[in-house]
Amino acid sequence: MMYRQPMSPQYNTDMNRNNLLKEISMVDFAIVDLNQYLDTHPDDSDAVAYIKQYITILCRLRQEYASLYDPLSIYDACYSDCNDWRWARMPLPWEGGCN
Amino acid sequence: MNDYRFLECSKDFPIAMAYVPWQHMENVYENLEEAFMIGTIFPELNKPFTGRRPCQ
Repeated sequence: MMYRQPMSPQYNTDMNRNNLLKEISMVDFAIVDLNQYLDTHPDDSDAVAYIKQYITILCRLRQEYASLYDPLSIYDACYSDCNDWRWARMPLPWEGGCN
Repeated sequence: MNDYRFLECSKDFPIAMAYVPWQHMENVYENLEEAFMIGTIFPELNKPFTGRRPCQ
């Protein structure tokens, strides 16, 4: 039976990693809120400009996170710098992968 | 004793109907951390629960 390597203590104490994840959460939240507003106000060009701006920022942040740490979704997996398949090697949620 | 003062705000509306005023976006919180903590990026939707009737 093969087991994954235990997480290094570094993994969850990495300040930059947590900060980047927090930034992603905040931008993601802004997109969700604007998305709901635009469902009923699709002609509000100001809101469209805001959500486009935040989507662009979120894509850049997720790309940065994938290249520095782990891909947050399979669609970000192409940004991993590792030669091996990071998606299969990163910690699973019950191993602290989503903290 | 019941408090019916809130009814004064709705005297122009027929009873037994629910009303949601239309939202018009004026601006959004530029500080996304602030918006994240408040729970909305729209300042007009920042409505913390106070336990009081809204029309007083």
